Parts: sequence; C-alpha cells; structure tokens
Amino acid sequence: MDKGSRLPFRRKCIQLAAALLYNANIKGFQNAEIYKGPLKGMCVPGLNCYSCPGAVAACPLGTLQNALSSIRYRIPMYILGIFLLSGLFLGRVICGFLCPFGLLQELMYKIPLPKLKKNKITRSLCWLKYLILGIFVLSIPIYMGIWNGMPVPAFCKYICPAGTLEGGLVLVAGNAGLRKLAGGLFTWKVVLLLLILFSMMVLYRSFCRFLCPLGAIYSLFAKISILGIRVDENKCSGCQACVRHCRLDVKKPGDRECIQCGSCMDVCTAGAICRKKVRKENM
Amino acid sequence: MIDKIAYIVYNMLRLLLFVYKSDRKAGGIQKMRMRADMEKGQKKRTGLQILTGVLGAALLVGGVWQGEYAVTLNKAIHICLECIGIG
Repeated sequence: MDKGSRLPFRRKCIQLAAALLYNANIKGFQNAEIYKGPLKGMCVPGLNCYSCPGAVAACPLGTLQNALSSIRYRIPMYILGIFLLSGLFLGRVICGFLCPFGLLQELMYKIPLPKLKKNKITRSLCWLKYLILGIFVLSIPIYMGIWNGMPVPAFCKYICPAGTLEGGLVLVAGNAGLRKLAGGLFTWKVVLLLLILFSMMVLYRSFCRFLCPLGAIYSLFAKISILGIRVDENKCSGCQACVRHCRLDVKKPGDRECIQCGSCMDVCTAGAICRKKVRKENM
Repeated sequence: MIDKIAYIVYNMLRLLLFVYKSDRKAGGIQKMRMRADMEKGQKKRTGLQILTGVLGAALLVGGVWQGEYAVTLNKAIHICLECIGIG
C-alpha cells in the first residue's frame, strides 16, 4: 500500500476523531441537555451547532452572526481573529478533514443511488454560498442588530441543517417543553434538512459546495493558507487528470473550491501535486 | 564540387546549432523569468501570511481582552432557539 492510497483512510480517521472531539459530551444525548462548561466559549473550526447536546465548544458561524448582531456596541474582534488564524493555518483543510458535517456528507454519498456528476450548472451553483454568506450571515444580522437592536442569526434560523440535525431533532425529541414550541419554522427547517440530505446522496458534498458559508469564508484563504496542497508548475504537464478525477468543481488543485483532501495526488502521473509543507525542499 | 557541398553542409549544421543554442538560451531566460515571478509571488504570499497572522492574533487577544469570550460562552451555554428551528 503506497502513501497515496492510505490517505483516504487516514482522512476518514481524522474526520471521525474531529467529529467525536467536537461532540464529546455523550451524556448530553441521554439527557437532551447541552454542555455548559467553560470550554463552550471557544470555537471549533468546523460546522458544529453549539445547541447540539454533544457539543463541547461553540460554532464559529453562530458566534459570528451573534457578534455581528451587537456590532453597534463592539467590533467582533474575537471571532474575526479566530477566522483569520484558522484560515491562515488550515484554510479549507478544515472542510476536508475537520468538519463533522463534511464527514456526514461523504457517508451519505456512499448510499447507492444514481449520482450526478459535476458540470457547468454545479460550477455556477458554487457562487450561491457566497450569496448566502453575504445575505444571511453578514447583512441580515448586521441590519437587525443596528436598526432593530435584536440578534437574528439568519443563517442558523432559516437554513443551517447542522442545527436542525444535531440540535433541533435531538432536543425536540427529548424535551417536552421544546416539542410544544415547535411550529412552522421547525417544519421548514426539517423539510430543508431532508432536501439537503437527499441532495447529499446524489451530489458529492452538495451542502459544502453550494450552501456552506463557512466554506465560503475559508475559501478566501486558499492562496495563503499554510497547510493544503499545491501544484508544482514546473512539473505539471497540464493533462487535467486531477481536475477530471476530482468530484468537486475545482479548476485547479488547491483553488477556492478545493477541500485539500489530496485524492488527486494519486492520479497525477507527473507527481506535480504535493502538500504545501514540502515547498521549500522542492525549490 | 565535393568541397562546396561539404562547405554548405558544414554551414547548415552551424546554422542549426546556432538556432538550437539561441532557443535553449531563450528557454533558459523564460525559466529564469518564471522562477523570478514565482519567488516574487512567494514573497508576496509570505507577506500576506505574516500580516494575516499578526492581525488575527491581535484581534483574538483584543477580543478576549474586551470580554468577548465570556459573551460567546454566555450565548453557547444556553439553547439557541433560532439554531434548532424554534425561535
């Protein structure tokens, strides 16, 4: 077994370890109660709802929206600092290795159903996540925070399937008080969750590619992130085997759509794709 | 007659050699330019990385200093009704 072929297995192990680490409060699932310890003030880099009974830390997207809601009182320095440092060191390596929702999407894709391959339409749909980031994560929380003085985490409220799956369903099922409160919004979120879960079965990482604003934020760091993959232009023959092999809408390994999983390293006959850490040795 | 042909062939070979050498030289220059561009890009990237790192660390420390850790903690230890689709 060569180094390249062990990579998918290693990646799955890291993804699973990250998912378990983010949701280490197993007792919470039994009692349908969330963890209330001091660690909850920290943010994990991946998408993991802090209202999940298992969550031991905060969700970066939820924290960002709440911080933006109170922008008229203070600049959200803490969460911006976390995003800058996570983006700089890891970038979209987080999507490929450290996101529990990413792992779920990859497992759902293994369900044997007819699959849709990437095409021009999926490539265009990738811009949708930037629109969601702009409207639901940035604009609405800022607008509601400044003019109405009330925090509205619009992405969490109207879209986030992670919140519905990890938090909503578990808490509503286990808590009679919350069950009584569940109404039209909950129904909307469950329907959306089911649609997204179905799309995951036919389209590889559909939520990640088209809807996830966290991926959109980390994609902005693609060129400067310290970890990840890169193409050695001197060795590259331009055969495009890597792009054809990749199930995401990449134009080149390591670009903004690339989740840095490194599966293209196996198919590159010229050996032009490598991890960024070996850069100086090659030059 | 043979001398003339040999002379022409000799000059043609010299010409071919000259073209080949100039081509390699041009390629070398192109490679040097590419390498210089890459180094320039690398320097720019390193600069951006340092700037992002310093800014990120400063914002993180500043955020903790102005009490945002406690604000995040306070929000995260309560069930977020919006997140689970209730509120």
